[in-house]
Amino acid sequence: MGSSTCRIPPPNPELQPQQGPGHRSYGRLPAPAEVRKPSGSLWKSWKNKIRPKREPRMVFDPDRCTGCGTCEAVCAARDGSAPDASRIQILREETAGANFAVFCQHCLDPLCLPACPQHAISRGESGIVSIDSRLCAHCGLCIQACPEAAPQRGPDAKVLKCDLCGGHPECVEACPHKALSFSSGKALGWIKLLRWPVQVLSFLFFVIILIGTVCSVSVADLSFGCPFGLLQNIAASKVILLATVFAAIFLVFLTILTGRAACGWLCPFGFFLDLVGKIVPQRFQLPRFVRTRLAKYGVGAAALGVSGAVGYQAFCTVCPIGTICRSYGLQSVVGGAELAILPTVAAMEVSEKRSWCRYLCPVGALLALCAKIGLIKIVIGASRCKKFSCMRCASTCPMGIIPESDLREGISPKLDASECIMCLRCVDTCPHSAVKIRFRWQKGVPAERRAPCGASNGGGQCLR
Amino acid sequence: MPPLDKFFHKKIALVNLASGTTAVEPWPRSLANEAERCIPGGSAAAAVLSGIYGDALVLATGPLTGTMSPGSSLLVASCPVSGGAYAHVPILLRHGTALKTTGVDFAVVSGKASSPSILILGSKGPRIEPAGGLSGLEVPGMRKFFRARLPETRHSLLLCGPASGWGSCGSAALENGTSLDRGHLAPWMSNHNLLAIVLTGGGSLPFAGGRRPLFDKLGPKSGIGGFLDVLEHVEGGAQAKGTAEKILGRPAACHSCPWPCMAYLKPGPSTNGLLCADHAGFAALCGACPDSLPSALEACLRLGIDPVSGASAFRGVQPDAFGKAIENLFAGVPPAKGPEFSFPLLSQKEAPERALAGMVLGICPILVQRCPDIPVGQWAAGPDSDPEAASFGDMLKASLQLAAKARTDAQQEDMEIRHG
Repeated sequence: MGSSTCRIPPPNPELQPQQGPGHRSYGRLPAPAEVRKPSGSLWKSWKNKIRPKREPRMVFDPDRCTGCGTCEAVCAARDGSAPDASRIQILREETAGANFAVFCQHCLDPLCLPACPQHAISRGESGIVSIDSRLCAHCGLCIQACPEAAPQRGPDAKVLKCDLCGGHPECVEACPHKALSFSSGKALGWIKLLRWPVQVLSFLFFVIILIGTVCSVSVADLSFGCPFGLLQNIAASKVILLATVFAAIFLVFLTILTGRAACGWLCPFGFFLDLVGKIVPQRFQLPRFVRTRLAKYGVGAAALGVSGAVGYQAFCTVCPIGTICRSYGLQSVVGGAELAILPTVAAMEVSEKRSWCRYLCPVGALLALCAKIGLIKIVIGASRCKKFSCMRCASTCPMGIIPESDLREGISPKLDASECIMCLRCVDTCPHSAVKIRFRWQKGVPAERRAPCGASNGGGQCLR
Repeated sequence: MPPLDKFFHKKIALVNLASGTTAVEPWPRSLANEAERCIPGGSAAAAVLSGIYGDALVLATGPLTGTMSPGSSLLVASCPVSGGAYAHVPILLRHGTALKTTGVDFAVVSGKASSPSILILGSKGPRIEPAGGLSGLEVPGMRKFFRARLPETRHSLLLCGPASGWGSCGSAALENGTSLDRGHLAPWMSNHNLLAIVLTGGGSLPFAGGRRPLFDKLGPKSGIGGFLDVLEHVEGGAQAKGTAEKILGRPAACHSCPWPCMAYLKPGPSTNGLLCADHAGFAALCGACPDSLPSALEACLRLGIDPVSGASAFRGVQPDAFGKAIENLFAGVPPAKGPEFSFPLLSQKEAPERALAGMVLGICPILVQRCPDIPVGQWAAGPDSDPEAASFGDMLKASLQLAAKARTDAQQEDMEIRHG
């Protein structure tokens, strides 16, 4: 690309937003310069990071849309253009009357933004992706880059894109059937504020307070133990002690009730991996034979076999969870071969987040089997999910169980409950409230609103 | 400035099919003169222009067409019928807006093309093209033809199905799968070798912004209740209501209409994608062949038959007879309705006048009748008092008279200038 294409042209008076009796001024929309302004002190930036964010979102409900095009008319009226050139386009499928609205999704990582050679597109603090008409050369590369082709060309060939009217979209207000809804966004990231303290406290509890007894914890008369440790014990001693069974069964029940929440919220090694994963960039790939989720079952079976053969809990000697407690606590012996285990396993984070948990952890394998018959699951509602234009859940899932390929193809994926560690990052990060926790017997996300056509047509036309 | 003046481009598209010439010109003088004392839109404007251009088809928008007013999608197609009268056919969906965004308020189509032709009205001006492979196609095929030919643009269509070539007066020009033509527009188009009119829009409107004055007052209606509301007010509609509830599904609305009164037939082996917008036609067919209603409706929309006119031909016909042999049944069926537009909902006394007012303003005549509590003047002026509204009633009355009036002196003069 030549340098001339990257030069920012002087403001063109013809391309300024029109002001006049017939045109509305959208003063609420922050100027791009204002949007890019640094947020000030370090404290403020931390406060912004910690405070749950709300991102404005517009959601289209195809069941309610009658195709009247009022949204298009209202939007086009901003510029005095025809509905054909509005920032929201209703695609009418004439064979069954199904309609679909195309408008800017204000993606987390908008593809239009890097595509713009003039750097005219920016994502503001409020989450609104907007075009600076002073910089835009109306080349149309953003239209080509956008997977939904959401930017439109106006009648004068100017590129127009939904800016949510600065946070108060007129089309939503105008829609007579409430097929469009807008919210300033659900609180994003609040679960994170809950999970991190729990993980920290759990880590401190296991590593600092219990000091090396993570495989079995006694509180008053109650004992809690690692269920995989129990299995090894049984394999090694060929004896089943009811006391140890009762101790181990707690984690099994917890998993049946809450899925693998113990992995996501309580496991000290999981917390350690989360920290490492935040620091280490994921740039490499593990060998293909390791990158299979069945491998952890193989590791578990092998560990049990070895334990039976050698007569003691073989895997516990190298278990990273036990190791982190035994070797790194305040009063633990720091040294020995165990010290090498942690860095080795942690090094796998250069491949994928929680690689150990995904592919190798036999404790996780055992809990995964319990989670298969668990009571709860995570589901992604197809009607709310924005699929390829969002994909936040896929990028945030540490276990990688939300396939981006499905989302790219417009499919809302089904999640494998046995692989989900119930960290709830996907629930936390989904701005559309599409990701929900549901009971196992529930089929999907229940419809929060009945389709207007449902009563009379039996719902046969609905797009869900 | 006369009220509602700002809603017009003040331009007119002139198309001569015989010579193949097209032009976009300012309004003729007589129409501009009429604009001083009445509202020169819809059927009123069509009456003036018909007087000037003689045996011509006039496509006319109203001042409110394309605005934020509810139901502002109307296009009036006026054409001469036998006996010197004019038929004013309301075309709904998005056709009015599509014409207005081409940059003209009215289009006058005159002359007879030497071979089957298509008229395309777009923002770059009107153009006449040979029909090519369009001849002989049924309506679904014609729609596919245009989807393939104009893939990049949205287009609103007016199509003449095969029935218009059967020598029967009961054919109908179809918009996207539906019609309110009662056997007047399609025969005119067919007689003049005009197989289709395509409105591609793409330009801008002569006004920007604007209020949505009545949306809040009307409120939304959902489901197929809108279709049933209208159906029970047309002739034979009460009996057809039960059938409609069974076979109709998803509702649909015209441009900027909060009260959808159209509905799609539930998908079936032969009825996938049938948009039902003709309540009177639905009721007529239901009365004639209640057991085979979907097939009869499908045949009407496939072949371009006015269901009201065709109902008598369909009476007692078995569903498997709705194939090509239907031509024999249908040949010679006269139009069931006269040329004057009448879509009064039976229970309302003021319905005819309100319907005609809608036809002048460019508002759906069905919607205007469905909300009798809202004065027609408020449609243009908004629910709040408006200084312009004082003269509005008088001007509307003048427009309604004009729509029914004979040729004026100014029109005569325009016509003489035009014809040398």
